[in-house]
Amino acid sequence: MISKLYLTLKELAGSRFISFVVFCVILLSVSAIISFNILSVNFNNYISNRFASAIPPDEIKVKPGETRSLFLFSPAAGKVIDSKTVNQLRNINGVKSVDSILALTIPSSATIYFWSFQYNTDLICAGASYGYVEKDLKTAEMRTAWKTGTHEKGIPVLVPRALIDSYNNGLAAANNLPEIVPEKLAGLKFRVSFGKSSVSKLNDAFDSSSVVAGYTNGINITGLVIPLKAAEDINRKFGQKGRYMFAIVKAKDHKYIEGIKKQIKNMGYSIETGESLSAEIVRLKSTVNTFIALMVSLITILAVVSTALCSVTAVWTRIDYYRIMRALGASKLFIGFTILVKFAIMGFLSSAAGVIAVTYAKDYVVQALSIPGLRLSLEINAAFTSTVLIAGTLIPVISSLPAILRMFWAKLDRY
Amino acid sequence: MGRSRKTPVGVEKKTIMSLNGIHKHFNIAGNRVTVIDNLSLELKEGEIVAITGKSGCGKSTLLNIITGITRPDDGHIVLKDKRIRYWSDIFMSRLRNREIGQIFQTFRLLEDDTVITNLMMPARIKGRAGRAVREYALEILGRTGMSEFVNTRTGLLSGGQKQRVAISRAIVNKPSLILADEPDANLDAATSQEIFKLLEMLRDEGKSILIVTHKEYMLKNADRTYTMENGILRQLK
Repeated sequence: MISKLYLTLKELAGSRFISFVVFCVILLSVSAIISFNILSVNFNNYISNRFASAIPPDEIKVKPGETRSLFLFSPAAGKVIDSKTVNQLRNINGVKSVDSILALTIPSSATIYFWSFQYNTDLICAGASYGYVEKDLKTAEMRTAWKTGTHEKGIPVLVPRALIDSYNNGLAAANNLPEIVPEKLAGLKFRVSFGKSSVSKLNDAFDSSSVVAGYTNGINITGLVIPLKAAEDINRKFGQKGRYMFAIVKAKDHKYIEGIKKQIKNMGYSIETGESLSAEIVRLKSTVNTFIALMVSLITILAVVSTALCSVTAVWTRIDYYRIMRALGASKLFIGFTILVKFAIMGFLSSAAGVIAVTYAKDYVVQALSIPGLRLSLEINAAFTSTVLIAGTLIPVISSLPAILRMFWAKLDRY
Repeated sequence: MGRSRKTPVGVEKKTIMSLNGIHKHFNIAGNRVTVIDNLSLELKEGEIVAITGKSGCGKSTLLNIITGITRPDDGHIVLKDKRIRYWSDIFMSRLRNREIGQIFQTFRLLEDDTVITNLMMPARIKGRAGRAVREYALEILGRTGMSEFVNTRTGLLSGGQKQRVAISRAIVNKPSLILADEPDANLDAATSQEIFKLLEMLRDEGKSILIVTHKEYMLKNADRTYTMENGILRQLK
């Protein structure tokens, strides 16, 4: 084993100048690729932060088709979103996920007790899936409750920010009542009546205690948001199939947005996304990212070609050594193995050196580079570092294969 | 000159290698050229067999076939009761490493490495290069008169010294067969005789030696001598 290790190290020490060239090629390539990656991350962050309101998120809000009529009131004529629609949306190319908001199609009302104050109001309730409101659920307890649809203190609910604002700016101001601080709302208990409102009352109407899990900016309805499972159960209890108020379609990438929008429109539904300026910014973002991807590809190709040429030279300059090794009884497999190990070690060391070089250089870059409105983030994440190290190790190995195979087939055993 | 002194008179020598009906041709410029034609040869323990012939008559091809570098079109070789399997590079490499020691006219030494490093290479390839092997290598260098050059780079040695190192390297793994391809080609007459004396010493230790040579001295002192012409082997002595 030690003997084999010695021969591997001997191979590593061979053709030092060419090894140095390969080392430099990989080092520079890795440094450039990491720099481009940092550039890409910062550019995308800059776009997202500066044009947050103008850029369309990778989400599309799908609403039922609009009812058009000559009269003020009309039967629902637009296309309704149901579970079948949700499945169709999920099957559109480029769709990552679909979160639907299910309306309770029964009358409902809420009664809030606060010391001597009692406030009763009709309201609508909507069920939201866990994935859509996960970020609004602050405690693990509430996250678990949302998944199961129930909590020991009652049905967990999220209060839309729009509803709180309406109360604070309308009802509270008009009646000299205290305003609600959204962050302090969690934990408030109240009573909700399902199947009963000031307009109508169903036979199976029932009251249920509820507990506020927090507030949400994501669903702007003047009603309460309850777990999707609870909404489905209540609808079922009253013999209702349920009707989706809207569905949030998340795209895998911005580039799919236009295609998805087109298909949803063709299905007869209304959609909401950012408009006008956003398309320009998305195009700019896409162009810059494509350019960066092209540069990274170009650097990778150049690194592969350079390393391949270096490996051909390295193998050819050492062919006498390999021929002697063959004459002394080394198998092709062993010779090939030592060459591959040599390039793998070189690749790994040069990649690691590239990562270290960029890591050290970034502090100087931060000091030297100052762009108004742009906060540079020069962190290299672990996953990207691993990818760079793996690629940096494999590229020289793969690049040296043609030279090794050519040597084996045509040159090695000619004395 | 002594003849196989280790084997008592009257005792049949063991066959180390036998070549049976070896045939090899090459296609050169569209023409089929037969290089070796139905060649059979036996090599016994502790004997020197010399082969001579014009350049390009197939002598080196024969050595390459024995070492497994070139595959014959027909026929087979048995080395120490094992039939050579040409399809397995690992098998052939192991055979070259353990059973065959090779000596080349161009020495084929690692010129940037020391004498002892060169000597240890076959052992390192074998995977056994411990202290015992190193001591054995030093002992061989003593026998070949190269003790004082143990840590000298082989690139600095003379032709005769290099060939002594090459011979020492050929026997470090204790092979039963030594193939020498014109070991004296680049050496003067005196050095050539010294090299042959070393080979005789190895023969006396029981090694079988197959030499390809043009030198009259070696042909005269070999146990058997053959000439190769148009791929056919003819015994001279």
